[in-house]
Amino acid sequence: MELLKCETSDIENTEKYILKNGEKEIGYGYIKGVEINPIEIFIYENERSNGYGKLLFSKLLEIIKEKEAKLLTFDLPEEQYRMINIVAYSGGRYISIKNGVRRYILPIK
Amino acid sequence: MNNTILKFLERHDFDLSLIKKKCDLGVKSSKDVNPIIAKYYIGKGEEQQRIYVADIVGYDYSYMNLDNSNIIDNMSYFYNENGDGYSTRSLSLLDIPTDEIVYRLMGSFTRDPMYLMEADKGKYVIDSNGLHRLHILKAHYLKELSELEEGDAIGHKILEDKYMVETMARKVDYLKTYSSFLFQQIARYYGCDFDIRPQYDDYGELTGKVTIELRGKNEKLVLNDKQFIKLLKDEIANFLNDNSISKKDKKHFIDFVGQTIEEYDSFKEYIKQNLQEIYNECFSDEVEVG
Repeated sequence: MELLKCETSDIENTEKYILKNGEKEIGYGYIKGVEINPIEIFIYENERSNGYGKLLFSKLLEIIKEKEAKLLTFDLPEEQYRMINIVAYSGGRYISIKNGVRRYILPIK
Repeated sequence: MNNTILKFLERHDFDLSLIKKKCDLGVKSSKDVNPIIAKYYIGKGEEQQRIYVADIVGYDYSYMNLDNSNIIDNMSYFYNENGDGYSTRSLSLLDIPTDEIVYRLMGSFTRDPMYLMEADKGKYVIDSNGLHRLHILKAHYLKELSELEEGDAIGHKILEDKYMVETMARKVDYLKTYSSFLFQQIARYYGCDFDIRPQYDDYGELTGKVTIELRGKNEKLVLNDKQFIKLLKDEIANFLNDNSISKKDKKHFIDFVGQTIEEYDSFKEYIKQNLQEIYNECFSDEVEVG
């Protein structure tokens, strides 16, 4: 399994990464230069429920650590329970909710 | 119910009709337990805690399109020998007999903690980890519970001791959560919307204070618990004495608080500890409003 950085990203002000297993693309993710939701991931539907989301997220988190960030903030609608689980599993702390959107803070250690 | 679960029930001599007759198989979400806490949640961190499996009342089933009426039926979602990685990864747990299930899972509670969220005092739901283990534990627990005779207090105590599990529990800050709830109820009468959040430092540690921001304004208040309660008391007093608010609305607010007190013990405790005047207002014979 490897994470490859794209030369360009289709979203402005982001770095795009692709998660591959050999030649097969599993999903992709973005590191965004924003305060809220600085990591965004997408796993292709037929590859889900195998732990790849957690893996991709953890790899992007490692990259962010190198940029010397101390704390990440995620505002996640409750319907995004997969992403919520990934953020919480990665150390995100649920601190409050507003209009069905949960706020998690993830200290970078 | 899939074949995997049918085989599991047979292997361990589950009497499903007895379990259904004697036990509550329902699954509750945090909203089912206490919708106020679910909607206005402000946390005060997480702590390691031993919790009785009976007090882990469920999880947010709606996002998995699961039913909330039968936790044993729901096992099919998490254990399916013909399913995807998620439903095949813990199949080995189905082989563990009832007598050994808690003991054999003990190591996992430390290595890979179950993360719970406090839904109300003494009631928890699975938050971000532990669904597979919850289902297997609950199944065996319900089986043993159904086998107890009526009034067997010792049997119940033995069961409780057996099914205590180590977890990481995300705790509710009741003062901040319920104060936020009341604050927002009043704000609604004025067409305002506040952003009330716990304050945390650059390292993600909660400071114990809240920040209050009126949406659309660039001002932010930072208050400790005492200041937050004082502000709330002042806002309630102003509201009840405000001539621009109808008597009907004021009575509606008092009645609503009164109903909520009767419905949720934790809210009653919060009101009695922090807003005794409101409690008296709600339950006095004559409610006088300005």
